[in-house]
Amino acid sequence: MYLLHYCVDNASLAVRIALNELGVPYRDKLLNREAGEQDSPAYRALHPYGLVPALETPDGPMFETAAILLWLADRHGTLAPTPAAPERAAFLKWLFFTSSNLHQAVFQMIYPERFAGSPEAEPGFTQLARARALLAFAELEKLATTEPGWLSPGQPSILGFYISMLARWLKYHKADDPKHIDFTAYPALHRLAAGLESRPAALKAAEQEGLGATIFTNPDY
Amino acid sequence: MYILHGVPDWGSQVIHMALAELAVPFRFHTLDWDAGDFDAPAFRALNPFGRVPVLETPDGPIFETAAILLYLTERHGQLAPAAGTPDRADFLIWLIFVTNQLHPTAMTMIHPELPGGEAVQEQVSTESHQRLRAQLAAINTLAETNAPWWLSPDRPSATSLYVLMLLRWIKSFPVFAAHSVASQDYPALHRMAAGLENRPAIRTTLTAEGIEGPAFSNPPAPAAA
Repeated sequence: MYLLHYCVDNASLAVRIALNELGVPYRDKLLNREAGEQDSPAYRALHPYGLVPALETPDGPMFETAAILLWLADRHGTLAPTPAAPERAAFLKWLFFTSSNLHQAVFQMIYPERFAGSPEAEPGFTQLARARALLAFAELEKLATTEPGWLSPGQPSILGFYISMLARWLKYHKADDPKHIDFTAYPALHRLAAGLESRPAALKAAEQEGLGATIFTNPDY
Repeated sequence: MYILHGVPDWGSQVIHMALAELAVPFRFHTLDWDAGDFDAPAFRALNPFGRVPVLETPDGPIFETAAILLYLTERHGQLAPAAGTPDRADFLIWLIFVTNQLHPTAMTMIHPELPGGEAVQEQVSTESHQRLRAQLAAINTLAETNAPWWLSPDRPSATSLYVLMLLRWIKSFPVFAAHSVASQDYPALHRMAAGLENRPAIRTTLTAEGIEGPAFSNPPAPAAA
């Protein structure tokens, strides 16, 4: 039995959708950030720097979104090409790219104060993080246009859910915000997100966290 | 035959070491920054972002350091716990920790102007240095307490080779010398570096990259600015 430590509408969402898609039993536990639970010794034993998600598994607790997603896909033999498949190389390349470039860039754009070191550094930092995110989205758009089996609107994959979740976060920042990125500028990714959000696994996650019916393309916060 | 596109003593080093440890045939293709090789259409076709490392494989070109490493370990069944084994979960966590946390933090101390511009590079470097210390403490604690084989001095892994390269960077290449970090402050990581850097495959790689001495456990301090 898995135990997912989550916060509503956080990076744990991709893991929740993957678990729903796998159809495996799991429990979830809300991390109470207001109470500072992320800094409690019990939680730090699961996740040394106190972020979500953390997933407790039969092989021990896991953190790092990409690690959890890849481990789940490999363990259950679905949602990603298997290690022996010829598409594994391309899949790993874009999964790690999404994790270390797109996810980091979007996260740093949204939370520059955690990285910039001083308030005066934040605007420039935000601007450059946004530029990196735009570059990453543009490259993923080219990839999505080719619709590989592991990144297509009609077929669930951990990478599809991961990218779609990051797209969801963009909508926090409206057109007049320096952090704004228009996701409709990426039609193939938009189709991907629209296809995936209508799957039962995503609709169930939306209901579990109270996120509305179109969680990726038109989020209701 | 693999082709590794890289530059001696750059981020391709960890892939170079992994290929040598796997003892598989490969060719190292050196790119020349000043000659514009990184912007050449042939290289951009392999990696649209124009960065090294890139590894050409029978399954196509791969970029992203951790993706290349994981692919190699899966294809050759070495340097990582196999999928389906009990320590796979921990291995994946820490490989991704190194690539998502430690690597960008180390990179920021080498190029502190990149995240926010030159005017604020010292604050950015200071912030990164503090974060780096916390990250190193986390992985050192893991190596001390759990002592997984993939962070040990006597058996290399994709993760330990990756950490080794970053230990060199954070000691030798920070722009601000005060932010240079010595591996001796993290004893388990230091022992790991001292053990692994003398392996024949690693020495061969270092020689090929023109590097002498204790490249990872005790590399030179940064040149005075």
